[in-house]
Amino acid sequence: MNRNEKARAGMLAGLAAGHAQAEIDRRMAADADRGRVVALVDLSAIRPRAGADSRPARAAHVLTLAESVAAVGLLQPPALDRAHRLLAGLHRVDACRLLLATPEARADLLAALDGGNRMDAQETAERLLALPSPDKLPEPLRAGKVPCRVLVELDAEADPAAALAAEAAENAVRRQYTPAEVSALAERLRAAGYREAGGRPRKGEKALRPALGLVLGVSASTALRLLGRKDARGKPGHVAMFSDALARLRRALLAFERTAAELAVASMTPKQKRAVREAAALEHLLAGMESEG
Amino acid sequence: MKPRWLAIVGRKGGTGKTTLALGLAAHYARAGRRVLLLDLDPQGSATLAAGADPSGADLSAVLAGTAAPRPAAVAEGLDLLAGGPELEALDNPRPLRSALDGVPADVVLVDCPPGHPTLDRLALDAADVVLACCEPHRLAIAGAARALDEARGRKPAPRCAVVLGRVDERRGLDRNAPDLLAGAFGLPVLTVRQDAALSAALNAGGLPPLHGRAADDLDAVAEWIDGRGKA
Repeated sequence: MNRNEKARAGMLAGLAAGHAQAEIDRRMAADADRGRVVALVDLSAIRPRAGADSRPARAAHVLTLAESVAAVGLLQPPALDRAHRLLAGLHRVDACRLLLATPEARADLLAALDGGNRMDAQETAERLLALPSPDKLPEPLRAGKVPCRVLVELDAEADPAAALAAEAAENAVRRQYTPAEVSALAERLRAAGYREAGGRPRKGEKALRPALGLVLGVSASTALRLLGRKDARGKPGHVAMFSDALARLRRALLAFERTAAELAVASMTPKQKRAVREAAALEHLLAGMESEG
Repeated sequence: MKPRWLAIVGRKGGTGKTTLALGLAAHYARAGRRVLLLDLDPQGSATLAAGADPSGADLSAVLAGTAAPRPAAVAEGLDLLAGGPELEALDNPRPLRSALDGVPADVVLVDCPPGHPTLDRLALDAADVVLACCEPHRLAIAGAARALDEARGRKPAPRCAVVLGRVDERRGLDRNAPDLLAGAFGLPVLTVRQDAALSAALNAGGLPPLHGRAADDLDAVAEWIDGRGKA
């Protein structure tokens, strides 16, 4: 090979190494994007699910969610595919629609949902009346925008199985909140008229614990624990729980950092592996030349 | 009219990203288009070259959602949002297009940093056109391939081209590289020839010169971007 041919081969090897590195970038980005809010999407731009909904939206749940969204905003972003088709969060999106509708249109919207006609008419009317008008909503909802997790690599129409998997995963995984966040949220709910009464809430009364549970995506009893009962060690329950969870998370992250790069290489084709090895060898060589020179 | 978003990428450093960004910014501003230059580089190269303060947090604050965009006027028709070290620490930044919604511009140029896939990604998400800066060297080609793979994986994919900078036609390598790269990438390869006047102007903290080899080549790059040029 003459000098030019060698240079040519080297440049083509660089190209192959770049492609292999891009594949690793893509995987790492996909990992990093999980659990991230990537965009504020216009509510009107959110399209219906690609297939049939796996369950119809329940009116009672939508109303309760709308109350919490009005009080503290939307904390769990709905998930959309790349064409902004809904993957997970039907109730959350319907709750936002309810809030953005004019007060007059809200009753009809709710009645059209599953079970809407079986709700206590007077109680429902009172609760709807207590919702803020669209111009009093927290931002960004007031501007008609909803924070959404957009899975840019997923096309629900082309890949319904992946869409279903995303829906299941989104609904199973909820963000973990710090103790400070939990108490701040509880405080905002209290300010919005939620009460910490024990037992079944009386008619017209809004109970704090189930609402907090709903906001955080946990059960009412977990919400109670998060609200700070003391445990045997004298630490508030939520502090003990979160420090355990944090320690587990740290261990998991350490293990993940070690394996992510290995996994990426392990799943490459032999050609890609060769290209990465070549690039590494070249960089080693160059580093050697620089330190000598 | 909606602005056209251009991302200037190429993972390797020193391939002429900032020079191309400033060159195109000056070209469009002189042509009467309103240009917004976004310096996405934690080193603040474009900011420093444009004579602004690269220790501020202008663009990073906008992306973090803690400040409204207030671009600084660098020249007639050319505004800049400065980059700086705080770009490095951004967690969960806002998408560029929504963060800059409402800022008046005909052309938005994003000068990407070297070696920073996560910041690159912000620019690629926003871009209508992606230019990957490259030189006829194995490591630069690897960097360009890496960035271009990511750009071309977008749906819809932006228009992409490779830009070979500082081309010296006396060298065989430089003469042959455009064809080799066009074949290897399957993309148009645009060239900007080595031009001492360009280096001198940027060194002096000014805009690229109006005339000369590099100015002619930058005009051709802009023509390709606007969909009129060859390749």
